[in-house]
Amino acid sequence: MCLAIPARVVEIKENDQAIVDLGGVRKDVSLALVEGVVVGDYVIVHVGYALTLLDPEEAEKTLALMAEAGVLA
Amino acid sequence: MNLEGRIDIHLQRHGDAPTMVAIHSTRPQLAQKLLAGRTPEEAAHLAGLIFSLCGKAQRVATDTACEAARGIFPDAATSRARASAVLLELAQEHAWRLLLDWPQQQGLPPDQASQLRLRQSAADPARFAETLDALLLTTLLGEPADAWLARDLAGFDAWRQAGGTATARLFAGLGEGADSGISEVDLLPPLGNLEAGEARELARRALETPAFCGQPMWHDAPAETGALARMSEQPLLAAWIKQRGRGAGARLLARLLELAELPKRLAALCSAGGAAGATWVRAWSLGDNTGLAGVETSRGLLLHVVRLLDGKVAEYRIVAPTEWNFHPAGPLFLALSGLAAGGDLAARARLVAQSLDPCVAFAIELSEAR
Repeated sequence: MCLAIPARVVEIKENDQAIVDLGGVRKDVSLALVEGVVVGDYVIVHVGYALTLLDPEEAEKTLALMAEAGVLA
Repeated sequence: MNLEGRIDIHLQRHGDAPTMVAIHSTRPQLAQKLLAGRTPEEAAHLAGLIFSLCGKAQRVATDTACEAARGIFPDAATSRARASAVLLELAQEHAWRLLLDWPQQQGLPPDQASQLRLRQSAADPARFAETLDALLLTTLLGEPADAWLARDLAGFDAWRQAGGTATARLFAGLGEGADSGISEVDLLPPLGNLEAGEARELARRALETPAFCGQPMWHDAPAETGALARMSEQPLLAAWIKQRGRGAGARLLARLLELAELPKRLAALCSAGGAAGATWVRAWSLGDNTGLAGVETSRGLLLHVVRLLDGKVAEYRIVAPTEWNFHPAGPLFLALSGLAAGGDLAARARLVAQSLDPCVAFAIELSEAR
């Protein structure tokens, strides 16, 4: 993915797999490339992998900015 | 939900050969919408936040373009720090293609552990260079990077046929014949060779015609950018292109060659001063509070053009590499149009599209010619 839309981790499963909520849509992602993720964290997702772990406050700000700019509905 | 757009590729086929290719991108042009009215500092922060794959490059481009608009150019230490941030990001993207995407595409296990080690060392350029060097030695090349880089085409073929690493075996799978997905469009010049007049012309067209950013042209024709464009004169790659053509194999080889050279380039950047950075990040002051920045990223040349008014962004344009390589009449179009008959067409088209590496998802739709 090109845009760094913060996704919230809603469920952690076996084998480094997790479910994230990305703008209201649930997606399966791998946590193999990030460390120390827990449910409720915000991550950036790229082709099935969670990448960067975000500061929650920063993630909320980013989401608000994206909404303001019309990137998020 | 499709916020960031995607690239739809439609192939009409007769048997297992394409008879018609259409490429349609829905990537939004967000720069003006997101950055207008911001101060340069806010704009740079936002650019770094909003773009996930090339956040470092976007942030560096925004900083550099806004400074150039004000007639300011960075000192040597800042230039080095920016070039190094850009290179670290580029290396991780190249590694992603080689360690994760390509194996997965061929039904092989991705090497997530190696990719994670690279990511973990990215806070420190010297440690990153060491980690990458070790990764090249043990996992990608199976021999010291210097020795591998000295191989000629016969030596490279021997390396891939010996199959000592998963990467070598993937290259062996490309076969001995002509490359697949050949495109003969012009290559964009590497940033270091871009002439001031040409840079100015790209900026002018981006500012005057926002649609240019979605379908950019080089001397009125589509062009290809990326590792291949930067590395096309490297002897091994030049020999591959001469003998087999400039296709998917050449693009993948260019990426591995560039990655193999990176530990040395990073070291040179740390020791040589600002000049070495001009290969990766450059800026031009265009007058009228307008600045242009160019940054070389994994996928190719990224251009930012900004015009400031009263200290804030009045106009902002981004010309990103995906728009060059996935232009409806550009490199991908020619590469797919020229695919020979034989084999699984969808799989071959996927490999070609992946070799051009779009920064958003792509889908290939096949239909039968009537």
